Amino acid sequence: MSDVAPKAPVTEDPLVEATLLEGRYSNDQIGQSLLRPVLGPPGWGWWALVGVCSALVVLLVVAICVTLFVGVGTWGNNIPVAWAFGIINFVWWIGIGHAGTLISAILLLFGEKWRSSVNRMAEAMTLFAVACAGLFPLLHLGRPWKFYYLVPYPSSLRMWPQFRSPLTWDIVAILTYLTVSTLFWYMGLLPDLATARDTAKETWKRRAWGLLSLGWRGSARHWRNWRTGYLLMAGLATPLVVSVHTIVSFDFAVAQLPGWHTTIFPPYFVAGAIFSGLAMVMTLLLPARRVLRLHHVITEAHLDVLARLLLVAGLFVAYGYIQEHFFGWYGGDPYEMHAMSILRTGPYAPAFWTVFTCNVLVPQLFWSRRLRTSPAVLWGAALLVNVGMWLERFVIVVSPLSEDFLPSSWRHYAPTWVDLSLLSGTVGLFGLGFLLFLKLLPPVPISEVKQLQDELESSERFAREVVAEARAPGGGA
Amino acid sequence: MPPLKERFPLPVLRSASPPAWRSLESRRRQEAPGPEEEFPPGASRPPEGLSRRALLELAAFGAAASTAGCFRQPPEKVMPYSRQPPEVTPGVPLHYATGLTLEGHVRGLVVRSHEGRPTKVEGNVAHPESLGAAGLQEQASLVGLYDPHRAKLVRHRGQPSSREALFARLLQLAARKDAGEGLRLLVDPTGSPLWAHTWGRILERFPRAKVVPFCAADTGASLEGARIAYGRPLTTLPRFDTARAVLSLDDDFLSTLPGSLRAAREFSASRALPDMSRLWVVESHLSVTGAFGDHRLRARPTRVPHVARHIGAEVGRRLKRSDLATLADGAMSTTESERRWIAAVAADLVARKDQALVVVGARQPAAVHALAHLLNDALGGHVAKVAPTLTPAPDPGALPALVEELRGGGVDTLLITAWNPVYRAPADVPLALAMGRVEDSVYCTLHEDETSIACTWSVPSTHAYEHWEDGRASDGTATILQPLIAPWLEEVVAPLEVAAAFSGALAETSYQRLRALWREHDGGGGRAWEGWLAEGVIPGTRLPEVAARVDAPAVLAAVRALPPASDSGLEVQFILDARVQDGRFGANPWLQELPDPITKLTWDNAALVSPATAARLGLARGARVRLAARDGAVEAPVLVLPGQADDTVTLPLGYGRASGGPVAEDVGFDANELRFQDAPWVLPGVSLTLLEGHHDFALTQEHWRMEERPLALQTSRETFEAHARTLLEGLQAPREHLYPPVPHPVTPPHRWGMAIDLNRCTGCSACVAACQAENSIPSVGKEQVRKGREMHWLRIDRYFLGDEDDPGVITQPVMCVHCEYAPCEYVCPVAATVHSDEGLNQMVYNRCIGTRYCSNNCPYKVRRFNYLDYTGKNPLARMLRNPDVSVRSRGVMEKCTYCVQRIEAARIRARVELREIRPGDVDTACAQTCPTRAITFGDLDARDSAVARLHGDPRHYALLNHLGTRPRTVHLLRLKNPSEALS
Repeated sequence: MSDVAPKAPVTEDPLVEATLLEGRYSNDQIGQSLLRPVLGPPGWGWWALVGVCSALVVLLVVAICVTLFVGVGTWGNNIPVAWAFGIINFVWWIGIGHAGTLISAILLLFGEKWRSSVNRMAEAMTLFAVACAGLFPLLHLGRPWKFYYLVPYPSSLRMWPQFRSPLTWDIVAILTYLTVSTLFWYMGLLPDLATARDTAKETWKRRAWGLLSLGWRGSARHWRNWRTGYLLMAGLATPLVVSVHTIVSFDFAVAQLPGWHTTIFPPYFVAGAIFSGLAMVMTLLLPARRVLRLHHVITEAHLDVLARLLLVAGLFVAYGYIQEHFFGWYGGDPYEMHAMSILRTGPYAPAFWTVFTCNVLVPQLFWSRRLRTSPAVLWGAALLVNVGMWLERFVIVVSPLSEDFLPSSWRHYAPTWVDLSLLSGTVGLFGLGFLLFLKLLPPVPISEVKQLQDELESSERFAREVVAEARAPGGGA
Repeated sequence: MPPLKERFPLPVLRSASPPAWRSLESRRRQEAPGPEEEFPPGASRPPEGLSRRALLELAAFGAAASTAGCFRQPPEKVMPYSRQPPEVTPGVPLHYATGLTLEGHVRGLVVRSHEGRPTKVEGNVAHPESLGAAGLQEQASLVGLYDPHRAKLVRHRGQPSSREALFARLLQLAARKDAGEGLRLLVDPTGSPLWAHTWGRILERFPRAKVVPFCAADTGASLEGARIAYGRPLTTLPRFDTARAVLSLDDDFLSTLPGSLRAAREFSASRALPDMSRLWVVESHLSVTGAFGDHRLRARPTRVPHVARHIGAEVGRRLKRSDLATLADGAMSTTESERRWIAAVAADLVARKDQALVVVGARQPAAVHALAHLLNDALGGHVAKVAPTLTPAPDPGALPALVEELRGGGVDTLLITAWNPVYRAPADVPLALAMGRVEDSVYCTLHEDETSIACTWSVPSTHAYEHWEDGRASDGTATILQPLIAPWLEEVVAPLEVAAAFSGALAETSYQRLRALWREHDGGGGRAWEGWLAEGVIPGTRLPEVAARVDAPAVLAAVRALPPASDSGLEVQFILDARVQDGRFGANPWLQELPDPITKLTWDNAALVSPATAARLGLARGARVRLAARDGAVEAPVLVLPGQADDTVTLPLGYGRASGGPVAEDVGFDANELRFQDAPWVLPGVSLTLLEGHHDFALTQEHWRMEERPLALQTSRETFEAHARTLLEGLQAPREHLYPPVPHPVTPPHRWGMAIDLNRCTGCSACVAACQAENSIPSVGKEQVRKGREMHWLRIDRYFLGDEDDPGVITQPVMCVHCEYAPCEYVCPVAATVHSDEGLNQMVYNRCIGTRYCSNNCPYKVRRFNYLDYTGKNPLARMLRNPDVSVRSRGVMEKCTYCVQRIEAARIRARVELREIRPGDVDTACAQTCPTRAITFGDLDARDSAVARLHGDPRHYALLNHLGTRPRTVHLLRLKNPSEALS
């Protein structure tokens, strides 16, 4: 017998023990604390950020005007690199949107409690990201004013879109995604809009919120119907997490270009989308949590679970990279092998290796629990992943195009100021949207937090009773 | 019905009625724009992409509006064709035979004219210099006609003057009493009988006047060589059709004007199996001919004559001619590999005696030309000799002598009809300075250029398609050059009119003078005249062959007297640019943007150096260097070009213009600054210094290797003959396909297809220019080419094979191959690119929204996108457009259509005549102009269809066949005919 007693094996379920709500509050306290950012006057920091973002939006407007009036030739695109920043930005923003849907819909269906505190922000982020994404397919057209040719409508020309093209599928996928995301987000907002209406001092705010809350009175029947509807919407939104980016990946996979034409793209794109979306959630959540003093509802446990998710998504993405290169080599097609080798060693190799560092190496930090709960590390990593995911799309789009079948046509790509303005402009638009959201709507779903607290309390009560019963003499036998 | 002016723009109005409504002279006198104010501010800036385009447009608008109101409706009531001229049916083009004088000789052309507006140039099948083909310069010549930057005003000392003032002064000058002591004419040598006649008349009236030839491209070595060999100057016409062993000593005969079209046709025909010719090339820079050759020896420019001596000696030894055999004594020593090469070529020439041919380039000294005459004579001579056609005979000494006279002050009147002599003069001939002493220097010009500034009178000239002239092909065949359009500029003067002021023939028009001159030949009192015009050639004017004996001792003496080769240091060699020549086409944006056949450079020239020399001197593409020798120097950017001789810098002429319109100016560098009158082509002992800075070239092809992919294929004749059946297996068979064959309700009437024979393609790029002209393809400017947005539907890929220093070169025209399973079609979201039942992959411009997905998915990358508004609003550019082709707006994809407008025109013709389309009814623009007939287009289902035969040829293969696209355009394997002695 050893004199050192063996330690008890760690078998804890990571979420059972987690503190999803620091302390216990009355419903009013919860409502007050979460509505404070909406009801109070904005601080100087908010104004400063709004100023920066507005400036970027002005830049965006300028760049859009230049694109529309002079032509898409003001971008850096050429032949053969006919797609570049427009498509990269589109895929990046669409991907970012995914985490919102993932958190709000899939985790709802799985009954994950921790989602309550973060889903509102994630959903809002989704909307703004999809809005930014939606700009690019339009701007990137040679003749944007003819965009409606893409939409199936009964025209007098008796022309329909060409349904074999993945771009046609894209239109359907994105419009569906935008509609469902908006509805889902709005539905989740209803009870909170009512709370805001009830708390608001000014008449116009009461009226506005009253209109938006669709006459919500919080009756039991309202709640029941709402719950059912919300779950149904979640059920509708869930397949979209997979479908949208799958179809976006078809834009590439269906083409016969070496480096694009690969079956790994759909799952790889979905994983990448979730990965980048989680990173963006963290990028926004961590500063908001600190500034809005939301530590009581967004606890270390939330950070921990987000970091774990990031790690898992990162591993999926890494697997995608490995498979892409493995099959490039294993297939033995010289064109494909060239496409893969220039990724690693070609003119865009620095971008590729940055991608590798940001998306594969950086998430490995989160094997450590200490790093998972450190907001600074998380935020830094999230920023790097955002950069990495943007560059990933850059190398995916540009590198295979610039060196394809006939070496005579090979040519490389460099962006212009319009390209860069559009990218930074949409970042500004996204930021502005998010800042306004923080100011106008409760960033954390109040009703859900109240419900969560209620559930936690009842489960604690239940646990106490069970323990008490078990301790009672003769009990449990 | 659209208004008159839209249906029939200017020329019909102008030619149908005198310009009664327009008198802008008074207005112009009031406003009197100076040379600077004529264009809007900044218009003289260098062509830089977008801004250049904008400026071109502005300038064109200003020019058109200020000069004539050409495009305005006259205020008076004008009538449409109430009685339609019998030959004009609106919408149906007419074709007129005419010609263009290049390097003094005429190339016969047929110009298509829509309602009086010339829109496309084709070769004239009946003309010996054209044989139905047309080169780059001819194809692009209409741009020069409608050039908004043409000279518009008669200027006297820079100030606007008028025609009346000019002619008043000219007549004053012609009334001189000094017998022409102070009268000099500086002219480009030409074969034109009318010009020769005019000069003859002037010299009759003024016996002491002189007609001075300006020689830039032809410095007279060839005639001098003939004089050494035959005792008199003769023009030689090599016969490539019967030659089977050809040695080219620095002669780029496949692209040197004026004989290149005929040479290319004849020589490429000799490349067919089984009796395939062999081409040996000795040269310093990589030329089109060198790239096409079977064996190529790189030699520094000063070594080329010595290599020729060794070859001569070797041939002499094999022919047992003792006089020849000792020729190499005293010549520069050769290396082992050179000796093997020389022995092999000599053996081949001797073995193919009576089918051997030696040709020499204009850059070589006269003694080498003489040696070639001797060798051709000894080997059976596949050369026709005719009397020289150029007047005045090229004489490089004439210009320095003229400059001496000018400086002496003895000349008061200088009449210049040569193109821009101030720019082209050698660095050590101070022509501009000397001209300052001349009281009246009169310069006829299409553009206000360097010479205009140096002259007292700058006279805007009519374009070649705006006046009557005549000319001869190099074999003497004469052509009347008819005008195709009335001059659209008010003030322009035909150069012949200016000369006529001195010949005393001003009372007659050029037309009358021409009729009078040719009346003798026209026995039937003028009845044959119309036949000549319609045919484009005057029968019976070909010069008779001259019998002449070679004076061997004289030739050998001249060869022995050749200076020794320089063995150390850099040598500079000058070449004419393939596109702008000596600069005279520099104002032509199509030619500027046409990729050089070898370097693929646009809008620029470059100092070409070999990879080894670049490595030795630490140079890379775009490095800026300063080349200096004697007291001349140029600063030039470097382009490293495989195949260049080591320690040799090749400088293309024709660039670096200081004046001459916004297109020509500030493009490239001026190599003339290093050109001296005693060393017009080769300059040894040049020092090179590396400068700061980097030059960004506008190259249309940046990657030069094929990466071991089966793209542009060639093999040796023997390999092909041994494995004809199996060689291209896997590149010919149709692949299995997921999609079922496209069902057609009825059997399609035609199955269009094309075949491109790489064995005939020299890469000359005439097809690119023809395609641009036929399909109204805009030029986009240097900046846009740098960005990779050139619009040419047809490109010529050029790959280097093997050793970087001494590479093989292969060229491959690639345009839309009209895949039967087209990857572009299924990815277009709006069905803007679809398949016709006859197999055409069609672009529906109106439907295209510009997603560019089709281009991404096109493995051949032949689609071109209108990233910006490249067509522009320029009213003159509109004149140039083919009315049968849609104009493409910004944001629309475009590509080769197989010239669908020609197919449809043929269909309409056939329907009117109640018949089927016959083979030969349709030809694409590229196939039509190809000098070597490398491109064949037609119906794959038709009987006796040449293209169907080529699709069944064992040499045919489908580009990227493994993708299963089933292209309708196939390429045919190129064959090389290497000598066993060197394998």
